[in-house]
Amino acid sequence: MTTTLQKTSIYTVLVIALLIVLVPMAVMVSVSLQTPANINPLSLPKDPQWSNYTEAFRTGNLLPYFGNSILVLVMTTAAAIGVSVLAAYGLHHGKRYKSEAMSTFFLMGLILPAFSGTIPAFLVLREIHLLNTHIGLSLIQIASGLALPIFLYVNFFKTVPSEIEEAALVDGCGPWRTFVKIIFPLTLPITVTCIIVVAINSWNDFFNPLIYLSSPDMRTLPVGLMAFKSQYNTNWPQMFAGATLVALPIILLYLFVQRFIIKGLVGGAVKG
Amino acid sequence: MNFRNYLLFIAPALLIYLLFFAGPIFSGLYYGFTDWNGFSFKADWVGLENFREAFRDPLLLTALKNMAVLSVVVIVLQHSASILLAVLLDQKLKGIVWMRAIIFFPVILNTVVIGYVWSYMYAPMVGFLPKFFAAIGLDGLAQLDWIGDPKLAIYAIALVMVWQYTGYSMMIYLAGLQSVSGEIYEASSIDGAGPWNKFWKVTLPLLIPSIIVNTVLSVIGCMKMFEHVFIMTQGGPANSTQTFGIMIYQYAFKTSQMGYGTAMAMILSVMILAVTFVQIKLLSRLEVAN
Repeated sequence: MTTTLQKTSIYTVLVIALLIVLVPMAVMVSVSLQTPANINPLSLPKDPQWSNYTEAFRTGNLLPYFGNSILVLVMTTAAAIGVSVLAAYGLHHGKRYKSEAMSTFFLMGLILPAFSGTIPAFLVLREIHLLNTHIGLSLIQIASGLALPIFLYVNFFKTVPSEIEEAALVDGCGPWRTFVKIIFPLTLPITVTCIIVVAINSWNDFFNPLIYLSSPDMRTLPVGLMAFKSQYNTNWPQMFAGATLVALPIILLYLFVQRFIIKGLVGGAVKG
Repeated sequence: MNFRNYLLFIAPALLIYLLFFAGPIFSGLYYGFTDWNGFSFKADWVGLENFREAFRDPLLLTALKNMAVLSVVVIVLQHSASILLAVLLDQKLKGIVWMRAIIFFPVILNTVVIGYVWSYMYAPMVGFLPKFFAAIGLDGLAQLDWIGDPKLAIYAIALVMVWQYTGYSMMIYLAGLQSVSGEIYEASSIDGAGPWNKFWKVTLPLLIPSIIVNTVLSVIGCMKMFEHVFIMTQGGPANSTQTFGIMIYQYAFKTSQMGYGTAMAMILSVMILAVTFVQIKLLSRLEVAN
């Protein structure tokens, strides 16, 4: 139906959009391989300086930051998925206990700005001696990121036919066994989406580690990367080598699982 | 499921949520009325003093203005671009899935990385944009100091947000378009409507609920703005890029006026809740109309 002229103009617009998205990324990678003395953002590196990467990795202290980020990501993701799938199952089956109101209360987490509670949360962590610890940071990330997985799981449970659960009940399964043996395995596709979305949010989190982790050796990657700005004020290649290293895991992950990422991030908004 | 089991299922999430998110926000309701500095145990009740001071604070006015500038730029640029892209990417064309994925990609990119890259894109003399504009002969644009000029800085940051989030709104519009049934388009084709007419008379009216959800989400994002500003300008030059997020951070953690900072956070939360409430009202009215 579409004419050749229409096709050509559609492709032209799309190519311009793709260039606008990709050029800054290409500039980042290209400059990361140039020498500070003769940077040319308009051309590709003639003599790629791979040493910028090893240098950035070493002087930027990136290895321990990678470790810290991964540790926080694993704790946050595992716990956030665990508690939200349980809560969603409870909310789905608890209609006679006014669970709709409880769902709305959880959903407030998507709307309210986390920094309205930052200062009191800072105190809570200080009181229980978890300030400046990875567990403390994880708890904050779980709490502020619960709303989305709970929401996605509740929507998923609405689609599970109740016959499945009734059959399990007839066979003598209590709600916990039904949940563990029958329901949780069914959630696998949505769980994959939730894991990826929670993990990306944890990996990219900048605000919380900035506030709740004060000592430099506890820092996660995004905050650690901030140090490049003061340290290498004019050394763009080194800064960009560091930035590329931080972005790389996400880029690789995205190439493989972009469908799940988009489904998770957009699903929460569309139905909300 | 009995009540005991219901409680057990929701307890872990509820406990963490109450202790580390909802509880702190609600207790902020108390601290906003005190002169508390965050370190001593003593916090004196000062009533509405923090709020009176806040509304006299010139920074609050700047933050409100910037909130408006960000919202307007984002609504106009990001949403017209993302509606256009969504319509184009709704077609069956080669490579469409990958194009969508690439345009969405900046959404999940780390803000520190984005802040660095765009600081360089804008950097006077040496950066990409000045060199690019000089190379194509647009000397006026090449001279601009995007984030160093107090008049321009907030617009420069708004453009970074548009760059990052156009893919996000595009996907939401795409989901909206895909829920529109093909029959409506077929009917309008039979009636002789061309693509231009179809867009204005069919697509756009059907997209209105998506437009409301999507623009309000963007406005809330602009109201909560912190990271891009923190990384690129820290609120400068000359406080020209102050936002509520930056202000709250500075009052609370740089000058230890935690009571005052919390009061600011409350003002912001109330505004965000009001915007959300209006969105819900508008949407429910539209649903009735449909």
